[in-house]
Amino acid sequence: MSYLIELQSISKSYRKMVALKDVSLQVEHGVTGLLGPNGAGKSTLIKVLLGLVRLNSGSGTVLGKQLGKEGREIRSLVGYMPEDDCYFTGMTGIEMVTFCASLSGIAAGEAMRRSHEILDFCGVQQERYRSVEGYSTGMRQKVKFAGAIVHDPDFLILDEPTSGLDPEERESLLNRVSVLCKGFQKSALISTHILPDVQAICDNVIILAEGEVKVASSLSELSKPTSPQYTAAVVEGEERLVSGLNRVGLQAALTPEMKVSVRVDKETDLQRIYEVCEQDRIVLKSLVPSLNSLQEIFMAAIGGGSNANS
Amino acid sequence: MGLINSVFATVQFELLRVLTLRRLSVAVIMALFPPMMLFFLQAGGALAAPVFIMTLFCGMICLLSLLLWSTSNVYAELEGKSWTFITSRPYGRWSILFGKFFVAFLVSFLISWVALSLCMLVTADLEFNILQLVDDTDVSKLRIWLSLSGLLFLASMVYAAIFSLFGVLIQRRAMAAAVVFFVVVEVALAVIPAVVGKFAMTFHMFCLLTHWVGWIPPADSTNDDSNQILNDFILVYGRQDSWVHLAVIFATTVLSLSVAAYVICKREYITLEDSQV
Repeated sequence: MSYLIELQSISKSYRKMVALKDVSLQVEHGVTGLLGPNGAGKSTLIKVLLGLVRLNSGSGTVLGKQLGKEGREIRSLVGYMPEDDCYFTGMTGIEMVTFCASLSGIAAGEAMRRSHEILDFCGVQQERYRSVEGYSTGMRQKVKFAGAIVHDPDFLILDEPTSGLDPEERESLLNRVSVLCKGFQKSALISTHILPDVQAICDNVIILAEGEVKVASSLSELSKPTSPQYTAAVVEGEERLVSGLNRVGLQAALTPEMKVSVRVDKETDLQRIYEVCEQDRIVLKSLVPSLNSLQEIFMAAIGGGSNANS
Repeated sequence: MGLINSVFATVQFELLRVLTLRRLSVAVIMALFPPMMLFFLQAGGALAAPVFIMTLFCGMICLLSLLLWSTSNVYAELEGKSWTFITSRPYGRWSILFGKFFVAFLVSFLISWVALSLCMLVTADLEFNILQLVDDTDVSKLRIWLSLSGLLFLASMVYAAIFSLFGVLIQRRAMAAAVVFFVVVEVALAVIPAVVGKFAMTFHMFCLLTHWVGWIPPADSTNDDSNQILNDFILVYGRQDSWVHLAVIFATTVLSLSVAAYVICKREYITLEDSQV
């Protein structure tokens, strides 16, 4: 099976500062979230994947192309949306996207046609004829995103794509990524600090910290509970349910979301939960196995302290 | 084909940048500086050698423009945070190099050529009093204008390539390094009457000027051995044909751009953000 990204023991230092330490990864096609606190090595990893920096050691492939040897081929297959506000002064939105297309080797006429098409897809209407300097953050993000996808890449690398966006714009951008990845079989690597974004659209998660890969797995796998915990939601009487469950010998507690978390060691424990509800006349809305939240996974991976916003 | 599209787009974009009010004003001021200086010198009666003065001023303007436009090829993008965005494209690096080279060459040539043409207008009523080493040569003003235009074209081309190489090799101090290079190699080295002098492009351009204006006849023509000044001149500058000098200038341009293309492709440019991981 060919992986989207395959890295073997790669290391990268900037002078004396180690940015990536012996990183090995196998990332499958789909949408992958790249998480990590500031200085974790996310941007360096992206630059390694784009072939913009030289490796100190190790090797790898992106879309089957060798890092370091097939840099241009990789860059023609990858669309990159940088985090920086790197718009070109004096250009209109349509000119900027057309310029991006031309830099990918597309002829002027075709570049213009594609740019209009992509800006339509990104929801940029008449604003495309205005200078990018006057754009709002949301509009700039849209134009940067359009620039990243205008040459129809197979793999998108998006660096903080939703930073500075309001909830509506954020959802729209994530929807566009979803449409491209689910509808057009593209793959994406999304570097972000916003964990709900990852939870919303990612299939896989990579967590970097101090230049090392702490976690690299599918989100569904990571979310599986490590302890046999269930979460119960009731119409009312959460506290009564907790005391009722404790009364029958089950370990239960109230979560911050006002749900009841209960440890279920054996099948009969579930039956006892139903019995307590019936006895105490509590209406049970749901009873589902507890999933690990990405916040918990992230905190555990980086060892507690983080800059992550949840 | 992809590279050509990419370079063409960069040229278009860079020319668009030239057309901003600020940069246009700078270009106009630069183009007007030599004719204005000539005008004031002429009005003050201090214009003894108009051709030398106009060549000096127009050459300086050409160099200044090239320093501004070509030495910042990489650094401007690193500083503007657009380096990663552009270089993440398949032809990004080469399009920055070649696109900016073409624009630096074109803009510098146009500015200095306009300056030269205005200088010719300002000095229209003056006698140039050029020392002719070959008596049968008719040194008309048109011929001087065409010759100097040709030299400005060559100078813009070769120095745009050399300064682009400086921009690729040294980011933050490229302009200062280019100035030092020019003073040491193109001014000091060029006047040394030895083989090392031939490394300077100014040497070859001066030789071309002597041929084009007709000061030195081609090697295969007969000359008067009794002309002492001509003999001394040939002793110092040699007597190669024009095509030799042209070949050196074109070869230097190609070599500089080739080295720059190799370096920009292979080199890792570290931004401030990179060093913070």
